[in-house]
Amino acid sequence: MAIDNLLPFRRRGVDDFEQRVGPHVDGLYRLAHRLTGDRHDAEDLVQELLLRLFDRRRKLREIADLRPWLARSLYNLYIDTLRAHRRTPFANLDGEGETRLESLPDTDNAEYDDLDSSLQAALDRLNENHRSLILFHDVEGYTLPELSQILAQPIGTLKSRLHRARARLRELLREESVEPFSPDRRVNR
Amino acid sequence: MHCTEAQNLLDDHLDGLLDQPRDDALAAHLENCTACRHELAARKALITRLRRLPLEAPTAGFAARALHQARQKHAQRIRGFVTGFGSAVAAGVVLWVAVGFWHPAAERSTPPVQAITLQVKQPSTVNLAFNVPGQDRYDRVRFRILLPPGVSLANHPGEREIAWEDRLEPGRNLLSLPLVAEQGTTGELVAQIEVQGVKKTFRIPVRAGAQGAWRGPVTPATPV
Repeated sequence: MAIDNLLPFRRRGVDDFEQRVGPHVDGLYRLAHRLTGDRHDAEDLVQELLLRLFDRRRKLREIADLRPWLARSLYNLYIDTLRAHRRTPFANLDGEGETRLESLPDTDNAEYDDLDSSLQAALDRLNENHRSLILFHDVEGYTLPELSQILAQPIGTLKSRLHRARARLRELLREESVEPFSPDRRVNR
Repeated sequence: MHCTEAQNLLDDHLDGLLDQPRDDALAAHLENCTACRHELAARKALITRLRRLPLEAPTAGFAARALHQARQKHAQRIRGFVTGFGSAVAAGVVLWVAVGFWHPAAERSTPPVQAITLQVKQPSTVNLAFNVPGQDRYDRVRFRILLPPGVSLANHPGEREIAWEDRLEPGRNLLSLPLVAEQGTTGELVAQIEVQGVKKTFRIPVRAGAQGAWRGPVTPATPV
């Protein structure tokens, strides 16, 4: 900090963190819930993300398209959290190879039926890459170009993986003798 | 088109990624193939079901609360930094002042002095060393230096106040102030640091006279 290099004093502009990020919080929560499978874990994940983003709010002003950028930040934080959990000595107490900790949505919810349970169970049996891809694309509606930013993968690669992920999901549903999606048994709401 | 080829195109068709010729070829196959039509319907139904997969709503007021807490926790952390800054200064390790040649070892080896002493018309460099404990770096820190009447920046005659934004790195951050006293005076050099609206002020006595300027040792500044 030599005196000759001092920057001219600039007044801090109005902090627009809440205006910029606020509209995305609900979407981030949805994504976090899809990834964690639990409301409280999802809220904790989003809260932690917002705290970290607040420290980087100057950087946020430079981001033209916040939605995929925020989704990528959330996903990276989720993966870090998942890895940290796996490193803990208690990570495998539930048993090797068992489904990740998931809590199904409230069964009193009239919207949630057996087919949803089967579908959720099949999703939870996918490997993390396939599961995330389907959650982002098919469940939450992120486009392949957006996913290319979020997951830092070429669109062609993601497309192939998405097709494999869907094929694996169909296979898992068939393994469980769940054929809810044939035309005869489709549920129209 | 065979069924295997057709079924390989179904996902692209559903995602709207097929070009027109291939989409037309697929449509022609589906027209005559019940199995592929059923497969397409099943895949479409699966995606529809995925889109409608229920989700627990967040707790009431979550979005507003989360945004508020982000701001609050950030402010608490900054306040903790500034509080720590003041405490550390009280212990004599954060803001140190040296006149003339400054050496880190002087912090530990020389006894503290009570004021900056300048010789009239004789430029002298005062070094302010801001030591930041821990590993945190702080961006957009606002600094403000006020000089007593009769003392100004040596390379900016008459300038008694400067303010700017900079960052503080972990460890020692050195600010060199070339000062000159135009006349004999006593007063205070005031150094203010502000992070996120939380301000800390340090006051360092300054004496200027015809006597030789004091040189060498460093002194812990007095936090206010």
